[in-house]
Amino acid sequence: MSPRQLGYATLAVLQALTDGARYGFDIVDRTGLPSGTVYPALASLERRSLVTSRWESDATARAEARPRRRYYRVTAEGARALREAARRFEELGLGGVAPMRHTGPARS
Amino acid sequence: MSFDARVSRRICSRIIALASPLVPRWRRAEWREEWESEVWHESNRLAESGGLGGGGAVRLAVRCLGTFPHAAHLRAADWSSDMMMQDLRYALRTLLRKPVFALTTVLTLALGIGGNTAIFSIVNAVLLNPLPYPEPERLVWGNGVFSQNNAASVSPPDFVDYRAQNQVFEELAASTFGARSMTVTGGDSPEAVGVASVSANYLAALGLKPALGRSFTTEEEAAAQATVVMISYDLWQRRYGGDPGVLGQTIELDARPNTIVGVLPKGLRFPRGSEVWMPITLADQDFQMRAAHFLRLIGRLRPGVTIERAQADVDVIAQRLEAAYPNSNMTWRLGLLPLREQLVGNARPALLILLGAVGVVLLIACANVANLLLARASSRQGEIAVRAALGASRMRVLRQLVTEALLLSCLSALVGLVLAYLTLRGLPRFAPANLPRLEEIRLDLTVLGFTAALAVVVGLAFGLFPALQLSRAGVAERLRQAGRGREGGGARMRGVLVVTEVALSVVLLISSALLIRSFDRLRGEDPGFATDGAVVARILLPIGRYADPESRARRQEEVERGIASLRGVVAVGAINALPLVEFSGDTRVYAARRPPESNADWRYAQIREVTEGYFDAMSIPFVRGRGYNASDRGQPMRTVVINESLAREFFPGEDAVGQRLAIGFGPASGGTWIPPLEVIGVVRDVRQFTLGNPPGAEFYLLFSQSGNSAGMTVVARTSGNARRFVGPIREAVRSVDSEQPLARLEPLDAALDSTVSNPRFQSLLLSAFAGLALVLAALGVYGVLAYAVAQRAREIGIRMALGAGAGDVVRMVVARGLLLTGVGLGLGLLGALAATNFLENQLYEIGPRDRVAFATAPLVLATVALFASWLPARRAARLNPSLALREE
Repeated sequence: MSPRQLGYATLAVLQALTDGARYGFDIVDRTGLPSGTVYPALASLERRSLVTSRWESDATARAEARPRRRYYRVTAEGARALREAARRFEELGLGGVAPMRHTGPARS
Repeated sequence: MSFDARVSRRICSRIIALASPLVPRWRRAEWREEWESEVWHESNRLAESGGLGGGGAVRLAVRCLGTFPHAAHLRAADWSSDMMMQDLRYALRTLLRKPVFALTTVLTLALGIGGNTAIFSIVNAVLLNPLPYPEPERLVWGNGVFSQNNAASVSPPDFVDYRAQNQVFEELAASTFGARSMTVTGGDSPEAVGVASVSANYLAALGLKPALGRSFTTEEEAAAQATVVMISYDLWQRRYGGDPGVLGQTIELDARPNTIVGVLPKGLRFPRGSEVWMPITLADQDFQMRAAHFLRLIGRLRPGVTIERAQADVDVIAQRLEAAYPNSNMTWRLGLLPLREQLVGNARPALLILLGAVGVVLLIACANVANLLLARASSRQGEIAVRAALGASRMRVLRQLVTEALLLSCLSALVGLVLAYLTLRGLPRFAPANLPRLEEIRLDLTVLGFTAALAVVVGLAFGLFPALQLSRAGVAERLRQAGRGREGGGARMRGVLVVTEVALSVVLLISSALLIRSFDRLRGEDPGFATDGAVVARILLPIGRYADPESRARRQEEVERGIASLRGVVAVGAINALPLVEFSGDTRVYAARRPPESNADWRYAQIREVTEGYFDAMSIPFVRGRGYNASDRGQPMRTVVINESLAREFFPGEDAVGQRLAIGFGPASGGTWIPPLEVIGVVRDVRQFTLGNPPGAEFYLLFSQSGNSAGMTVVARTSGNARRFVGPIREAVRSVDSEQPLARLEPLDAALDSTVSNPRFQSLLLSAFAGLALVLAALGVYGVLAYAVAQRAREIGIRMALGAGAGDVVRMVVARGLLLTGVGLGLGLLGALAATNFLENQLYEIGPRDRVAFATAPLVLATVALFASWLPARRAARLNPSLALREE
């Protein structure tokens, strides 16, 4: 992992994934961040191997007559980075990293 | 699926499609699929829950706008710093592979960028930077203005009234105009320093405080004699080693003691050339005459007061003074202008012209480099095609090419900075002596920023065209074209660039031809005296050492006799102020038989003091009558020598010799009348102030009779090379008095040289720029033709094989060169017609449409272009047809 620390938005995305979000718009809903922030954050998390993504199989999607979705998942390294960041935030008295607000029901 | 969901989805698809070109191509399909899929799912969910109405669709569309930052992010990540380094390394390797090309390019651009940096740093320091005083925009300059002159001085009584009565100035202060030279005496090392007399509030008006000690008090200003001084920071460091104990010490100036009460702020050299300030002495008789104008004013406006309001305010005071003192103040006013305008206004047009010219040189340099790059681009077709075939996108290739261009321009900027630095270091030696704020010129952050910006703009200017050209054609097309004997698509662009270069060079050549011719005219102007073979020496006769006029006249005579005794010196004389070089004063005169009817009819004439031998030594011929001779010595002042202009103005149509001339201000203005003087001789006019100004009325008093001046300039006419007499003359003066200060000792023509340093500086620089432009344009023509010949070798070979002779080939190539040059010449002549109007005020006695300049400059360029075309033509004619054909 690069020595650069993670920004708040990136951490919120990481936290949302840890909390069970699986795809882009779900993260947008959970964090309340604009999509123009969430997607670049996902892209850089993926570049730094803190997050991986996979496309669901064509068969599953076709069976349900819908386009296939791209699912994101936190890697072990990502989980470590999130814990480390949460610890730093607490040291600073800022509380844990949490999604800023929930705007909709958590769906899977 | 509902209708709403479909519409909503279509809008979102449109947005996604709009953003998608930003995404790097290798990720585009995946990126698009992800967004489309998310939108599909979301719109479906909304439709099922009935949320598509009530703003749900709008929110979805807004969410899709996130595609733009996302796409931009991916693109930026794609252009990682790794890739930048990769591009740079590749660019550097490419340049090193063609070192001659790289060197030519960098040098060409460095000359352009360096010239621009140097001229810009002058413009920046002189014109753009605010004056180095607090709130400089509130500072104004005050000139005396009357019916005949709007840049005269102000009399001390008028100044005192303006200062007391105005309601617009925080401070209104006065100084003598410029600095006078005095000698620091009484120590081990006598030295000449510039001295200015200033009012007590002068430093306060500038908004400054003394570095040490205090300013003058109003009591010191009101005295009859100055006994205190302030010295400049430099003088304090130089003579006193920065010792704070300098306050209260005595400094002897021209053998008179003065107490140092303060040290001026660091860097302050105002009024120009002053190192010592004395208080003005309002109780002195000279300061009591309302008609004797010798002060200049500076004022600090009260906050919020405009210069127009201030002018209206002082106009009211001027009218009051005119009513109260009609004898001296008829038509006199105080003219205000921003201090900055007074200091740099005269330099502005010349500097802007130079900036424009050097900018044009840079444009030409850019065109030249663009040409080189275009030519090289064709030969790189193959390389680019291979890169594209291996998967490089057009964007990638473009980036690579622009990186190369920027690398070139940045290298050039670095070399250019070095050139500019060297130029500025040498500047004080060749800059005109009266260039204002010369000491403030340097390469500061603003200049560095300017150069950096220039490097980027230049890099894009010459790099983008070839890059676009090169990255455009399809892969297959390029592979097919590579290495083929055909000029390629850049040919027309190269032609346009060369035509532009030629046109711009013509404008510069004509402009510089105009300035050179104007300078020639000015240099050729007859000053009215012989400049060759004479030496001038300034003898200071400080009043502190020679209290009475007789002792001054005696010392002057001893010095002249000492110089006259040298072998080879044929005539010696002296004047208080050498024409064109030193300034005297003027006074009021009238023909004694015709006193002026009203105060408005007063006329002014230049007044100078001479010794008997002056007119001989300067070779100024007498038109009528005689000069002063031994019989006048020791007599009271009864006679006067006048110049032709004065004779024409005051004694029109009659013989001036024997007439009587009345001189001076008279008791009504606080002066005294002297009896009218009898005219004994009329001499030819000499130019008084500048070579370009026609002479005006002037009269000469005999120094031993009037004896006012505290210094005389001796002129020694020699029979040989004036330079060889400088040493002997110094010895001759020393042998009279080993402590006699000499403020100037040089050949007369060297002294006069400084008076034309301004036009010389301008014509020299502009000629240098024009010469550079000519060389660059010639290189441009040569480059295009040489390249065309190389590319068309096959075609030329075929023509020769089919029977075309060497002459035909030469004609073909030269004709192409002349066509380009001809079109450029035509456009350049049109451009010059417009551009030379800006030069009009800089020209002396020739118009901005001067035929000689307009004929010569294009001729020079055409000749050079012909030569530049002939070289490649000759090469083409020597082609071996069979070899050229086989090379394919």
